[in-house]
Amino acid sequence: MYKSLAKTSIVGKKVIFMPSCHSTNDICAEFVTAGQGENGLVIATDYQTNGRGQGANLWVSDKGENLIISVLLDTSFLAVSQQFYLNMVVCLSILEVLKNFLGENVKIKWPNDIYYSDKKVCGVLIQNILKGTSMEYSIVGIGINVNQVEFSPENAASLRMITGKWYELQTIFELTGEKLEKYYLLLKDGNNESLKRLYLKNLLWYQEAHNFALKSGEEIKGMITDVEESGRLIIKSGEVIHRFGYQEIRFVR
Amino acid sequence: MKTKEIRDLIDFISKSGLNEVNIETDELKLSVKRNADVQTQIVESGAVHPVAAPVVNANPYVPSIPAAKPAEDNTPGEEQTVKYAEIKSPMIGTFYRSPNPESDSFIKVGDTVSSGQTVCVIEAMKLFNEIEAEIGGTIIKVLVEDASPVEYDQPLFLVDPA
Repeated sequence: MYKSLAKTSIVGKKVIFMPSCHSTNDICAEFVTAGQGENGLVIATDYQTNGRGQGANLWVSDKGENLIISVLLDTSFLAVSQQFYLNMVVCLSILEVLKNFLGENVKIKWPNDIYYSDKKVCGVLIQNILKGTSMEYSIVGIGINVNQVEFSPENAASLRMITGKWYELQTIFELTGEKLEKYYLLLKDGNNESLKRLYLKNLLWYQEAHNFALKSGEEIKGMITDVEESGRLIIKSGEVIHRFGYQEIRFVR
Repeated sequence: MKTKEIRDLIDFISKSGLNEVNIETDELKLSVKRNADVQTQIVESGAVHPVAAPVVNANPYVPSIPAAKPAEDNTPGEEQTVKYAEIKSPMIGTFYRSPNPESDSFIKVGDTVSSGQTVCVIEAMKLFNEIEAEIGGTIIKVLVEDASPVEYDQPLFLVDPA
């Protein structure tokens, strides 16, 4: 159960809690369809029966131990071609929340996983609802591993596993909502460039030499030098500049 | 689901030992909880799923003969592009016909769509975009294969607005 947020003006003024549901993003979309989508609406749950990651990847979470929310945001001010800035907003807000508990060793793994060292602590799933050729709403699904102590994927970890402490979910929720609103308003005010600078600054492997695997299986040595407005990752390998879409590149070591 | 069926279901649950029940069908999601903070939520699902089995588009690369072809009898080929409207991609990305791999397609050839209805998803950099039809009509043809890349402004569906 979550209380609505006191220190925000948009995010989390209305919070709908479901003890369990198939996917908070889907429920949120149904509110929009029903004409009840208001900016900042939060759908929260203790347990998702069909929480989704990319495509068929199921995101499994123990009951009541993690923060699982979907936030509805009015993104009608944003061009379809600029939607990756919303992704930066979401990543930066979670990053700030997690740094608050875990210190500086928190990074964004392109495009939108949040890592502590080599462990994934948070996953993001953003769904945009387009009206014709423009953005209308974005549904921002956020799952932060908080108190759960066992995960089937080995590269996942929770705040509790990292610090040994137990956390009140409401506290994490409040902080997440506040930071999300802060960065959302920065985007709304047109601070695209500074958002991108911050995103790059906190990007895992930015300006470092690493190995990446291409779709063909071939491995290249290279360095992340930039992210395009479209969100494509730019990797410089020797004198060659590569541009990669999601699923065209895998981080190796 | 009819009101009586829902009532019967709640009766059934109350007689059972269950504390919490969540039921989900194509038409509705029902979640009943027995505690002091009683929460009963019935969310009518927005999307109406056709009962018919999804049409399997065997191989979209082969010049396809759509199963339903309402225009065949009187419209010569050349006029089709003039008469039919296109739903185009508003962005670069990957085209998906269903919300996730286990689900049915949003729409298939022969379906009637109304303006504002979701017809596909285009994914770009792990952001999922629900694309709505801007015009109503009958789907004549799906122009892009599922899970393939699309360009900005690329036609996705052919619609007979009649």
